Amino acid sequence: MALWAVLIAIALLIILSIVGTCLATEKQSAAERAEEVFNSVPLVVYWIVLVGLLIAGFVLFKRLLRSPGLLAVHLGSGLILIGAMFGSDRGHELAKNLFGTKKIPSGYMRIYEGQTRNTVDNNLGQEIGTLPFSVKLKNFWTEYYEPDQPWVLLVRTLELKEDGKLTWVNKPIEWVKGKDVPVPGLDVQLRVLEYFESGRPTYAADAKPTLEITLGEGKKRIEPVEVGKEIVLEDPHLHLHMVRTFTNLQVRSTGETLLVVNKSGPPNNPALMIEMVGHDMPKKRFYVNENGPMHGKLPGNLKLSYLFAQPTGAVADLTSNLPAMEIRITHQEKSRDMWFLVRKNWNYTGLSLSELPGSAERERREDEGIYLVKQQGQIRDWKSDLVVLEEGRISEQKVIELNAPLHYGGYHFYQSGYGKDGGKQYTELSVTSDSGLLAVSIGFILLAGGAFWLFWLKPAWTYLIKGRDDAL
Amino acid sequence: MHFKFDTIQGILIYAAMLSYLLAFIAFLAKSKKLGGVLYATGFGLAVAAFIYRWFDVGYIPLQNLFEVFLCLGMLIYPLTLFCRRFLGVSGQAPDALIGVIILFPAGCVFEAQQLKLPPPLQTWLFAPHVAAYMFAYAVMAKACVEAVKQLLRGDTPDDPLAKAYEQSTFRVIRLGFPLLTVGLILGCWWGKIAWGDYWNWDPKELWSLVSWLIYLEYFHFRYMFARKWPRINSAFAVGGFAAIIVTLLWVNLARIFAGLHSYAS
Repeated sequence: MALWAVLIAIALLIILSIVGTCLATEKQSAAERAEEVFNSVPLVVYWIVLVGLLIAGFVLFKRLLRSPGLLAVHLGSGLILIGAMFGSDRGHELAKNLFGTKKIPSGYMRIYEGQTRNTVDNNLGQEIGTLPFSVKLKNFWTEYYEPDQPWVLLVRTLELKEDGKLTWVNKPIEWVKGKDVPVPGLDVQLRVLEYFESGRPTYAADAKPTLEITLGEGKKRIEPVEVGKEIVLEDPHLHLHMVRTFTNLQVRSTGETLLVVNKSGPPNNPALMIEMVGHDMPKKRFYVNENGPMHGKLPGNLKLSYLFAQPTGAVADLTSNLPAMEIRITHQEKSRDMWFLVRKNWNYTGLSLSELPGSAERERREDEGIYLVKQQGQIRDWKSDLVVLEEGRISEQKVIELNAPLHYGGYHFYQSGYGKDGGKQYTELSVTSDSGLLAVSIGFILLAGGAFWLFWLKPAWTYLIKGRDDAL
Repeated sequence: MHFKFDTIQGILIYAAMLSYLLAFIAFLAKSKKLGGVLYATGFGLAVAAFIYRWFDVGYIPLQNLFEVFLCLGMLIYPLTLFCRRFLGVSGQAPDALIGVIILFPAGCVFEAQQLKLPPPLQTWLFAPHVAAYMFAYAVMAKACVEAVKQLLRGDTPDDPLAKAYEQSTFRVIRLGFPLLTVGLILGCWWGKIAWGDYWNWDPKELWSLVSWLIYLEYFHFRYMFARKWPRINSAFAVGGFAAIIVTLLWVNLARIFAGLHSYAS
């Protein structure tokens, strides 16, 4: 009779589990619905009956107690069920009613960088409880794999979508060195003439440094650099005076003052000293390198970049981690060769549509063009540096990530998600009570150990002692 | 379909499949020696394919369905040897055919695209959890074959061959059940340290529980009615393997069962 009850109980669980996989609705996933069903009152009764059957088994079948393997698997199963029931939401409610414990079964915490919290929310963001300690997010960061292709060639255009809105679209250009390929969305052909994954720009022997001046609306002006030269800008109204050039600018501290020197050696930091004076601006000095002024802020939308010399090409250089690509753009009979050279700290380089052959016939929109863009690899990990504070003192500190939670004060804190809100980084922690954890863990060990003893070790032992026939 | 004729990986897989298929034919033609050599050669090629993949991706290749089936195709030969030597269960011919069937999806269906390990899979539990399940699935596939042989013998009482097949089924399931148990437990443990819950009621979790429960039911039923209804015992074995197929394939691929385990597709 008891064994029939066991067979029926297991069969029922099989059927319920299969049904549980098909419960998805429009608003809830199958997992969410299954969780509700398996924690409902009828199923709670079922779980209690199942535990009761296991206990009855120990009473009615002495063999369960005599056989270590059978004892372990049945005891282990019982402990897993009991531990899981203790750890469930209903288990926590029962513990609260019987023993007055105020543990939160589970919840979430969204903590911004630098913020300290001790409250836990549900999945709707509503506060459901307070922890007896606080958690602070010291720092959060994501880590990325190196992409297989660090740089990709793509065309960026504005496209009219079905909703009538113009939307930026980036389409990759599938290139093969030495072969003409069409550029998606444009009436030009592109051929990659040369590509170095690690390249270094080369310069003509008589190359001279230039100052690239970018004014409002992206207007650019290239001025050859000559010490003593003065340039007048109209908008904003400024006088620029080229005072001195450096091939390798360095700033040295002499205790109380800072000294700017030109260090000998390769041109690692070429720069230009400029004095600027304007209508409403007193004389100001800037040191400008290829990335712009090394300190201070330029007036208005003005941008300056000191280019040591205009590169005429590139060669492979394994010490550089920057790519170089020579392309040929062809439109009907006209073609143009150019180099895409990436500068330090740049994530992309390219040329706009207006610079392409045949651009006169095309409608021009700023920023549309062909670009060599740096790819970000797939996310490898995201980590939160957490500090636990009790009564104002640091009790614990740990950097958590997926598969490595923080365990403190009867709770586990899991790295659940992250995001950015108004420019501030935050982490999402999943908080879970550790009630029932010990029983479940012991249950796992007993169940696995018992199964191996019963089906592997005992027959293997019999095989060794008595031979194969007895073991089988 | 994703054929891989232009890669070393693909060629190794197809060579292993061909070797297994020729072994199956040789066994059917009662040429045991030739069949044995071909079966062993197929195993060697399957191992080479697995090791090649391992070096190619830089981690133990058990991340996606392509890699899982590649591993399974490798395990079938040692399983045959073990069962014959220690469990007294033969069946080289069907095992060789199982090898071909298992390698077919790896060679012709699933993409071999290398993927970087996403954060949830970056744990030491990943390899043991999947490996335990892969061993278990290979074993239960063999048990299913023995069970089908028993069912095909008909309902003749005291048929010695039917009894032998029923016994073989039991011995092989006895071998695979602890692995299925460990795979399930490691999955629960992993869920606990990754997401905070041993059990998320995910469709894949529920189907893996169904597989385990069917074999559990098998043991209890056989304990009660071994000699009375041996065909029902075998039906349990076939049902359990059907649940494994659903767990492995349908749940990963069917959108209606979208859940936490979907990354494995």
